[in-house]
Amino acid sequence: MRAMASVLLVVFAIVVFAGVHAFVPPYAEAAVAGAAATGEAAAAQPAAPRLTPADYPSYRGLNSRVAVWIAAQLHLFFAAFVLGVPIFVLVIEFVGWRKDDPRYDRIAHEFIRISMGAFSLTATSGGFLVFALAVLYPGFFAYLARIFGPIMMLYALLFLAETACLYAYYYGWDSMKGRRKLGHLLLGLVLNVVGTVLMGLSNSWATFMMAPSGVDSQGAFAGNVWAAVAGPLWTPLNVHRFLANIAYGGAIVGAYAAYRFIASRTPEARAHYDWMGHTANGIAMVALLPLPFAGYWMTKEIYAYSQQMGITLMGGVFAWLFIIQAALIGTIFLAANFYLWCGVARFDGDSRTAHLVKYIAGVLAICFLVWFTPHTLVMTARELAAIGGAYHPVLGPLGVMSAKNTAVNIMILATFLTYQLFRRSMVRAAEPWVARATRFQVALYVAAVANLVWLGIYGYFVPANVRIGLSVPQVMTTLLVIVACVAVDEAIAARSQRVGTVHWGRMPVRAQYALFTLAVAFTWLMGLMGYIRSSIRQHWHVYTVVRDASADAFTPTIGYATAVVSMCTVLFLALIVFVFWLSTVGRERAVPAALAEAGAAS
Amino acid sequence: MSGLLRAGAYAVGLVGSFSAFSIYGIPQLVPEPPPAEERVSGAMTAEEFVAAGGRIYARACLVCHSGLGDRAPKLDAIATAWRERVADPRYRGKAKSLEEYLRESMLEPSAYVVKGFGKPGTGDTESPMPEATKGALALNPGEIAAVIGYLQSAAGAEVTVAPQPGAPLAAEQRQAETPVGEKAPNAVAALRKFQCNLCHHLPGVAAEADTPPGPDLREIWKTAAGRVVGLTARDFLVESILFPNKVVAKDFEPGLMPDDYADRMLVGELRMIVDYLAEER
Repeated sequence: MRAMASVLLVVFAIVVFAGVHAFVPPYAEAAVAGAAATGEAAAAQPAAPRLTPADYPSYRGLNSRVAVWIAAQLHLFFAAFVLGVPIFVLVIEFVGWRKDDPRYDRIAHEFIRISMGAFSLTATSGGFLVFALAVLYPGFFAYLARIFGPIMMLYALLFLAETACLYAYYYGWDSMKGRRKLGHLLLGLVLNVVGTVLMGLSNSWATFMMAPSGVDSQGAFAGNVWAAVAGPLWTPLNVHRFLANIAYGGAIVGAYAAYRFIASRTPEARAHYDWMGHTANGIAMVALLPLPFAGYWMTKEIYAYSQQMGITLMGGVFAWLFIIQAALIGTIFLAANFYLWCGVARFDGDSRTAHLVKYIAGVLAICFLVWFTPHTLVMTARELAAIGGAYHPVLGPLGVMSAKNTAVNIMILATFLTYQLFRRSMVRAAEPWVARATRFQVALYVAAVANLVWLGIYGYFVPANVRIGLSVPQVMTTLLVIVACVAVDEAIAARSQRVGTVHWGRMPVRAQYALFTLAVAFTWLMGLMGYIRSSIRQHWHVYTVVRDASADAFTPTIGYATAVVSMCTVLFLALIVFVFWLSTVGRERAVPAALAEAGAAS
Repeated sequence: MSGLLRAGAYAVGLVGSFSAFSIYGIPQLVPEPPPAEERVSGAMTAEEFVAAGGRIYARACLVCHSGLGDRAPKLDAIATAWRERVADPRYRGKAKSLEEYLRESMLEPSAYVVKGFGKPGTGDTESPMPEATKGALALNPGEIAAVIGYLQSAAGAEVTVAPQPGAPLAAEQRQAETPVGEKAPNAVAALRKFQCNLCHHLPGVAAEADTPPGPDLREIWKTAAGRVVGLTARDFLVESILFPNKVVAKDFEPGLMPDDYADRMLVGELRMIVDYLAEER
């Protein structure tokens, strides 16, 4: 009965997601439809406004750009969090239901409780953003509303539906148990579908500003709103944000678990929050691993849409922001690995794989440095003469994508290896085939790294279009190793004995700071990448269609931009601590001993 | 509580370290400002015209045609290379001269795609270059002509294009020689900036005299459209501001209105004034 219900649930999920996809026409069809409508509708539609400085009201010295920037960034932080959390909450709840394990149900409930407090702040920050846009950028906002009016109305209705689903899902948690659990899971699924559609609709405004579709070269709207929604960058951004939201949600609830771990006074509570932190870290990393590939796809589509915009992104001042990005992602990878390495302390006796940690750390550090190496250096004339060119004679070749793609793929493999070693530490298998399977996995890693390095070197000897295409076999190599190793590990785990007891809660406090690091670095990185994505429009509100005529129509220096990103991050962190506090007020319950024991026994 | 404070201090310290790295570890380049407001040009010398084309080329084209990397071919040898290209069987254009080839390449970039520079997967039949008149480039015919002149000059070929009087031209043009001051924020401010109310009755701006020496423009929107055959109201107003002696209103002396607004007025200001005067009231 339960198995059949699971299948029905999965089928329902596929049908719903496929239905949503089918409802939204792909870009090519939408463009044709838009073109067909152009003849009649475009004649009736005015061109995009030609704004002048008089179209930008100012209020008591308030910097309009910074005000909208902060409001938008805060809204995005909260929205990413409240959209990401229910996705993995549903998965955890489903797993708990299938395994009939109350720990999963409890942790899922606790995760969603944290996001409840953030939901109202999402709406509040969204309100600030809309008001700020309408008041400070009325001409531009009126143009957007003229095109996306129906979508904005739909968005408002769906936001209501999202609210209703979220409240019913959260408050119905305890009452919808037992035979009603399936209904509760379906409610969670609907919540996630509505949330994903909401995200897609709001993403369309951002992608329209970057790559307008459904309008002619003068910005006159052709009348087909789906043509404006389904622009060339819409799908890549949807995929990128979907994955990023899960990773971000995982990182934030990981920080919550870390804080509660440190504040815990009983071994039971520490065990619970240790397990929670471990789960959250796993969620964040699983969603993080495919993110670079989603980013490449997004960048490829930006280049395909406008080579000029692509070059602005990767070849000019903005290229330096990717060095900062490399530092941030390096921090994230190192923190996540450090947390897993500390997790070995949960096992009794010496770990069989602990000696490998130093090598993995070395590989991560080398890959990080390769990723971190800039291509073109900004130098004085004397430095230029001393080096003999704009590129460093030895390190310069490491600055191009061939080297960076190779480095990031190896970093992902090294991180996965850490996770794999942690899992393998939990089992002890005596059968001889396990040793052969392990040798097969080692051979797979060696072959994969050799292939990644070979493709990276080959990339230096082929034209750019071929070189860009090489990222596909590199990604496939990495994914193949991960999938194959997971399959082998599952087979080993199913036929092996567990190694004694995993002592949840036996984790050093410094490991919790690794979880804090993840949350802070994720938040700051999101702010930075959001700035990059938005600012490559340069002096355009809507690229090539509505020019920014305000006094702020210039690209700020990197220091200025990152100072605003830092301000947004600190504001968000302060508010999220408030949310954490809210989620515990009046809800303090001792962790039942039975649950803690169940956790300890796993 | 102390745990929360420690975690908070750690988080703020981490944010501070990211900021500090971005400020002190990364060069603080000041990005180029947006392309300057177009200037209305009067007659230009051939040298000025070619130099203006060079500035436009540096701003709009050089990012790809630099010869660095493999984004787009370098154009320094275009004076001879164009003949080989139009003779290539893959050529799909109609150019018979270097000027025509350059113009065609800017307006229809896929007419001929140099090998290795096409969009991936198109077999060098489709160029990744945007049409020069569209998108973020949005060059006007005068600017395209100036770029052609620059490319001809840089390649050592004869410059066969010439400035068209009255055509709006490139950014930055003559900026150094003729400071124009801050751009007026709106039409009324622009009318005041150029002291139009010294000689005209204007809508929304009080005239300096009861009987000013120029025509009353408060209802010019009613009559401007029919003044010169073939010119819309806006075109007539543009011409009247830039070339005030071309059509002089009945009962008024020619030569009274300054004829150097082309050098002093920004395009945006001209557009605001014209839109304002042509607006129905």
